[in-house]
Amino acid sequence: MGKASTALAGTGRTSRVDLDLDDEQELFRETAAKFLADRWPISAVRALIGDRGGFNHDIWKQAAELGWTSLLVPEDLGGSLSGAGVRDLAIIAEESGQALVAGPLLPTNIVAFALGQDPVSELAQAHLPEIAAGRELAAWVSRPDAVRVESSGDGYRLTGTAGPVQDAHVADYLLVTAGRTQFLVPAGTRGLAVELLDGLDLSRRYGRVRFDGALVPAAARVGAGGAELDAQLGLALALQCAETVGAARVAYAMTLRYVKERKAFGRPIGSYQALKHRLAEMLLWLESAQAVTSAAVAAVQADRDGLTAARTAKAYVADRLPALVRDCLQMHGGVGYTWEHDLHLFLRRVETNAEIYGGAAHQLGALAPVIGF
Amino acid sequence: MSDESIEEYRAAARAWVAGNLRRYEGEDPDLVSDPTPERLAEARQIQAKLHAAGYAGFTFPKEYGGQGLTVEHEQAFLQEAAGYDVPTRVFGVSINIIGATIAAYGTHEQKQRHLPQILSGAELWIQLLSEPSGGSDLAGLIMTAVRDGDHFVVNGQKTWSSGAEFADFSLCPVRTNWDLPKHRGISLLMVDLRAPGLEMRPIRQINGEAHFCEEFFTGVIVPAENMVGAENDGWRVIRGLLEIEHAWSGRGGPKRVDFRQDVADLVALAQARGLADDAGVRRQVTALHVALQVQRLVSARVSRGVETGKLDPGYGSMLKIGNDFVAQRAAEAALTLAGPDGVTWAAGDGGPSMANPGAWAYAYLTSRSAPIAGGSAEIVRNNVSERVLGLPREPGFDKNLPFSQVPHN
Repeated sequence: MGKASTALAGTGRTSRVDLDLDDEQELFRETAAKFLADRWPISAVRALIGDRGGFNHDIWKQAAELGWTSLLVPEDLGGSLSGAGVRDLAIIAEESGQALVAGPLLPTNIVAFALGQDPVSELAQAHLPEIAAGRELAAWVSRPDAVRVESSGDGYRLTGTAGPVQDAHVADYLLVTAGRTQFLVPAGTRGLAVELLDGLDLSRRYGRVRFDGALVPAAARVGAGGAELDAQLGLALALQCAETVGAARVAYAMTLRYVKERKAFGRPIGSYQALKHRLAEMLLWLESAQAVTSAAVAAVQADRDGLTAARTAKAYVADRLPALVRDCLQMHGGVGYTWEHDLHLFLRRVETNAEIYGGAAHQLGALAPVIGF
Repeated sequence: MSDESIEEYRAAARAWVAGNLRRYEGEDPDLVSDPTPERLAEARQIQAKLHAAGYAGFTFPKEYGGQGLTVEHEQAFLQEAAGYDVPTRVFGVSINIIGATIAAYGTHEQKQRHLPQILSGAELWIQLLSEPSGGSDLAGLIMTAVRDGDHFVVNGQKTWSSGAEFADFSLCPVRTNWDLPKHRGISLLMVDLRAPGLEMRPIRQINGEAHFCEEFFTGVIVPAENMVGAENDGWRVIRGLLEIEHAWSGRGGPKRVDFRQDVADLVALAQARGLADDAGVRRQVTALHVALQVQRLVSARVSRGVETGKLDPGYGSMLKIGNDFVAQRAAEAALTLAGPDGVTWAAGDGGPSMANPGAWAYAYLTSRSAPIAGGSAEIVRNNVSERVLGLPREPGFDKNLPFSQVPHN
């Protein structure tokens, strides 16, 4: 299908998550969009379906050169930490969602964020320059209840099975969150095994990580388990929402175009109220998802209860955007149910993102105390 | 206009507001849904004071009593006046929809005669759009005006007008030619609401209140000079009026009476009923909290986006879909959380977060009006899909026929 125009017809404008990009950010976005249009067309997504690696290292290197892995890394460690690294990263996440990019963009940046909390630590000094340069890939084992930690000699022993972990199979290092502690563990550690999973999202790989008493040294400990863990989860949720919005917006734009072109009973199907009323409602969902995601990104950026804002965003995004893309498929009728049509690729990404890092019901449960329950 | 001069303007406004307006405690007196005659008189006095000081009709031409300023000035003033008693709701439609329409389409004489009066609150105007035969199908109106020399004789009925009993004048579309197609036989008249032959009656609503009126016109005489736009060209002006209304809603529109249940009330209610540990109830109420947060955020986003030209003004009407949704879901949640006490009560009842007996039922019934009033859910969705999304209209069978041959109620 080539590039899907995401401009809303009738306006010629595209409404994006962040309506207030400055010139520099707009240039950054355009560069990313051009890069993806050139290097990551939908044919590239399709070419990797069924591929065990599911990922293109050359493109990752180029993305790193564009700064996609250095936005949360301090400058003296090879990064380009600006005052607005989270906002900049959300721009990339959104563009990546539109293009269904494969690769550990989100996990690698989460790990960069975790290490960057203590930039003078040995771990940060050793790994942040590598991450920023795109030489090291990192994954995040984000199931704190699934991994048990015991002291063992000078270090720790990890036991348990955690998953799904995005891009665990290509990661050089894994950031393991276990309870309120975190460790950076090399992928080759004895007693650590990654099993590649099949999944709904054909454009991204997940793995299951098994720790059979894997030993990690005390020096592998990341941070002190404080409020930065909440900030880290908030960052992940906010970026994930931006990505989901990007993917859902393409599906919506495809559908708008389709209902204007497709004729039934002598007129475009988009003239029937049975469809246009739903499309009007879906526009509200999309705009609302952008508004709440934008607020989450801003809260995480400002470190102002980012987790609550991001859970709020995820609770909404994980509820409404799958509903939106499901209805996009319905409006396409039979052709939307064919493998050849690209719509299902976006449906798969949006439905999968909804569940990863906790779905709507989970977020609502976590938010209940915020309103006094 | 540079930021600096807006900031200077803002500082001057702040000082004036502090020295000349009354800060209110508790509820905004402007948000009382049916103002008493005393409150209305007070509102007129405040509006006159605002106008005299140059804080009314910000974007209207100076020539007609306005200030010749920008929307940014208006926003700056309103922000500074937050928490003070300013009657922006009472005069909202009168100034921002009707005044703006007269400014755009009226003759020099009409503007001279009415705009300064509208801006100062001396004249309060309403629009008489809905008729019993049709509300959503506005152009299908059947109130008829027959020309007789230098005046029109008007017969028919309007309905669902809010605040009609307090108002002085109305903008009233009428059919002046039944042989032309639907949209081409309409004219727009300025009608004095105290004209002989015009009778008003309150309409009782399902929640027991009577906030709206219906108007019966029997041989009402309207001078021909009161026509806005040309004869049979009124639909063009009404479309302009609707554009003006959309743009105003996009900028935030009128202050609204907020009848949404407070989420804190719902939590207290759930706790009082012993439902606070019920996972389904917790999720339902928390989801409402999320929906309210999201609606607040998307509203702010749209008003900023429309203001900066990044979003089409049509996005303003999209917000109504969400406002109606949260209003209804919250009221329904309250009614069901309250259980039997939500649907039956005795005079002395009350209790946690239930201010008076029947409060939940009243809020629930009132919430039924949300997707009917101010543009039905269906018409809003038509507007959004056609204006913003560029989807084609449903074919109409009434467009090109003489209106006299079109079936109507």
